[in-house]
Amino acid sequence: MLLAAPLTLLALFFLLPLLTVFGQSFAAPDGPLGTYARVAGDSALRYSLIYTFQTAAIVTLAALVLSYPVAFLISRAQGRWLVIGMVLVLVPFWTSAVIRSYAWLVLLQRRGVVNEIMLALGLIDRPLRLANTDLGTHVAMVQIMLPFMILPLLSAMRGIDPSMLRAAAILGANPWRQFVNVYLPLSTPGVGAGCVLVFISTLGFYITPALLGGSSPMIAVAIEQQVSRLLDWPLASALATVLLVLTCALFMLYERLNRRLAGAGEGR
Amino acid sequence: MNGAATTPVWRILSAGIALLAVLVLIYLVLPTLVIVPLSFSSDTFLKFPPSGFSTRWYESFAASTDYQLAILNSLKIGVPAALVATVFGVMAALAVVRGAVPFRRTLAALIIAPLILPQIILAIGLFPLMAKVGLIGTYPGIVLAHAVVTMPLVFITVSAALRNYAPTYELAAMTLGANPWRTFRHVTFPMIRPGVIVGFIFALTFSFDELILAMFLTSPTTRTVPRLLWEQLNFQMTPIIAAATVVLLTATIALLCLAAIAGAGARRRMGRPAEGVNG
Amino acid sequence: MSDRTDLRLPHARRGISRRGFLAGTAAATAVGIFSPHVVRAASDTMTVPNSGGALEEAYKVAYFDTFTAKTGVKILGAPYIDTARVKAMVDANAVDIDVANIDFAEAAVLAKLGLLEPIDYDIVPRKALDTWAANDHYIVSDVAATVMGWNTQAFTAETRPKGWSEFFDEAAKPGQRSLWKLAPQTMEIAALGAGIPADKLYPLDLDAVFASLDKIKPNLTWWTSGAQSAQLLTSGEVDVGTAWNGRLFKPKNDGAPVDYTFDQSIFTCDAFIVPKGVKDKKRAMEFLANLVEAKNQAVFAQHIPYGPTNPAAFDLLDAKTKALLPNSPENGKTAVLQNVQYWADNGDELFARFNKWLVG
Repeated sequence: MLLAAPLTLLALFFLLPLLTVFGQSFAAPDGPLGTYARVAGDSALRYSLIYTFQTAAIVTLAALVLSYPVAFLISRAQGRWLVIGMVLVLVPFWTSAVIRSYAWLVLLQRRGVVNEIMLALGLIDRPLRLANTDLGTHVAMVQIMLPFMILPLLSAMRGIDPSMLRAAAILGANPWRQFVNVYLPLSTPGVGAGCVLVFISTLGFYITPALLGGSSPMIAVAIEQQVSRLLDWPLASALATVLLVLTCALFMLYERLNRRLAGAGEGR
Repeated sequence: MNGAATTPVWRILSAGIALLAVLVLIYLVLPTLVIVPLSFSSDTFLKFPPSGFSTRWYESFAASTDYQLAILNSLKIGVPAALVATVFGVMAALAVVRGAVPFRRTLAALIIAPLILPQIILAIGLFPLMAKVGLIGTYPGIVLAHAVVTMPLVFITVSAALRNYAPTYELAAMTLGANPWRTFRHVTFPMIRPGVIVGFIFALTFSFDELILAMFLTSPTTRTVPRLLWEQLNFQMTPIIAAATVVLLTATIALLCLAAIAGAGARRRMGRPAEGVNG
Repeated sequence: MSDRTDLRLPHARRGISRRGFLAGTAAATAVGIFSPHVVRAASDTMTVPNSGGALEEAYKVAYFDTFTAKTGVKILGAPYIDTARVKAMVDANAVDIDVANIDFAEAAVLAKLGLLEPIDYDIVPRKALDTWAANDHYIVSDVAATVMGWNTQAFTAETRPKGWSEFFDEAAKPGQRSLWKLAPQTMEIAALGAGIPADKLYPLDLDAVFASLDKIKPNLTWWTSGAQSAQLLTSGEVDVGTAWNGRLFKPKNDGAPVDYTFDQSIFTCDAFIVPKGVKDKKRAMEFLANLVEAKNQAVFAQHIPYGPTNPAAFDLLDAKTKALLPNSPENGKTAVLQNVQYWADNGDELFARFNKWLVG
């Protein structure tokens, strides 16, 4: 009974729209699969899809590598340091993505802060082009995604009992072995959750690439353009359907892995 | 890494890790920090460092009817959306965590899906539907859309709160003759209240920051703050955006402090929405 | 949206992006379709959707208020309405607006689709207008331009690339370039850069266009909104690039290190249309007649640096104002008028070719 109202909301304003997107994607004048044929035949759109997944992979990997030590440090922190750590993670988290993209523009421009600092330090002798490049866009995207990686890692790490590491140490494992054989496996659920979250969010990235992207053809930007500039709803819907199917597939794959891991972990 | 880190190599390594972590934290807050001096710029264009100090952008922010309208719209949309999301999210969490429903995990995944799915997909699906029934550019249209995407946040925080205590309390109340509503009112709700409040505030802040759906579903008269910021960014990049951000961010942080006060364990719960993928 | 083939108008959004009022959120215009927020006009009011912002303010002073003074009819401004929405409105026989301000490229498309009332030149004085501004189905009201702008720390008016051919010559004038990441205007500029004379521009020689673009590809930054075009130049992110004159005018005035020239600029204009099936056609035409008056056009140009289409208006303007207008006799000498009919007829193909080149 309790489910009736929430499920109605979901059915009307979530499932029905998705079905609409799906239906629209087949409403091409040149036959039901016409739009998909156009997606497949258009090198610009194909590239956009590939580029989006490539970017998602790069951003996820970078976010994981950078987040792990931060999460580890905060998970070990106590009292005031814990609060400071959390605030440093959460304030950016709650700063609008529109604004952070704008701030990155300020930071990365040719006469921007990053270039000025590197010039002053003598790291470079003339300003680098950072804004409107893939590198700049990735740097900004990773920063925006970091909290989505740190927070799940943190909650997994906070759950790890330090005595497990001590036990490993007593059994003669060196720090490296302690990390690889004990800590890393115990933090895996956090790694999985963070990676899926960041990967899927990056697939739908719109603001940063639209503002900073230069020529980056992220799929969400392409979809928005198809709709608003070219008024081509079927094509936009076909792109959205491809994105939807791939996102769902990823999510289901993760759920399955997660369930298996959870099943394996039940013994402990 | 822990007590065993005694050899010089490990000490250098752990110092290196700590240094990396600090650098990452700087990277994390740098964009937010750069906004503050920018908001006090005396320039009319985007220049950093600013050539002089002035409060002119705060003045134009305060005088801007566009911003006043947008802030009002954001409230008119965010508050009802978060309320709907909270009521429905609590119902869904109760049903999935406490009820005897089939396909529990699938249901949980379905309820969380709107939060995870790229919003552009939902936007281009909602647009033609809402156009048909005349909801485009109206408050109910965007409120319902935001309610759907924020319901998962409440669902997650409340589910977590429900899992934190055993259902035996509710059973006891029922055995003592309380009807389901009284049981909820006097037993369940007090236990999950922090989760409900945190969920509500997450939903509210999410709605305040949402751009894509607002872009498609609002009109110039119902546009929200993020949409106004976005339009300004595309029209003329002046530091008024920075001033607006500092004001709004201060308000957000105040809201979050409220959230932190709301629950004793609120600090730990901050991490929970991200955990959501676990269902 | 069943008949979307007709709605696939690649350049439809061009104008909004220029003005940027709704730009970037291009969806914003799509939002208008079927939307109920346009107030149904009472008999003593007219509803006139327009681009809003600074442009609406200028329209209000120059055209809306003067029309009200003359006829007592009050003008209600309304959010910009794009091709898709005009089509939806006309098809549904539910035209609830009177006249609309729209980008002239979009107006050409609407005319092509047969969605506009023919202009009644018995009421509107055709002779007052430049011949090209008096179309059978729309009236061009003002002239903006895509110009070459530069950062003054990188170039001066003397050292800047002279004309588009030097713009595309990286060896002659080293520096980072910027262009609009969209086919219209950018393709015209690339063709001029290849040395094609202005009067031989159409049909566009695509090989020449892409050869020009290829030459500067390594040093090219794309902009996607009017704000970006100005920001790239004022911040020194690029040294020289294209921008709309209305966007550079203000930063230059405010002391930003940026300057621009009307040399070889591309005219890109605003138009007014009357959708087919409008309730009071005669009154709509009278509104357009008022808009054509030299006196009102001169007032408009004093409020925003877009030039009049009634040449007599120039006689009413001082030299300082004229210097800011793209089509003043002095500034307009080497300008090119964008051929919107050509884009209405060939837009699909041009967009596809351009996008392919972008990823190639």
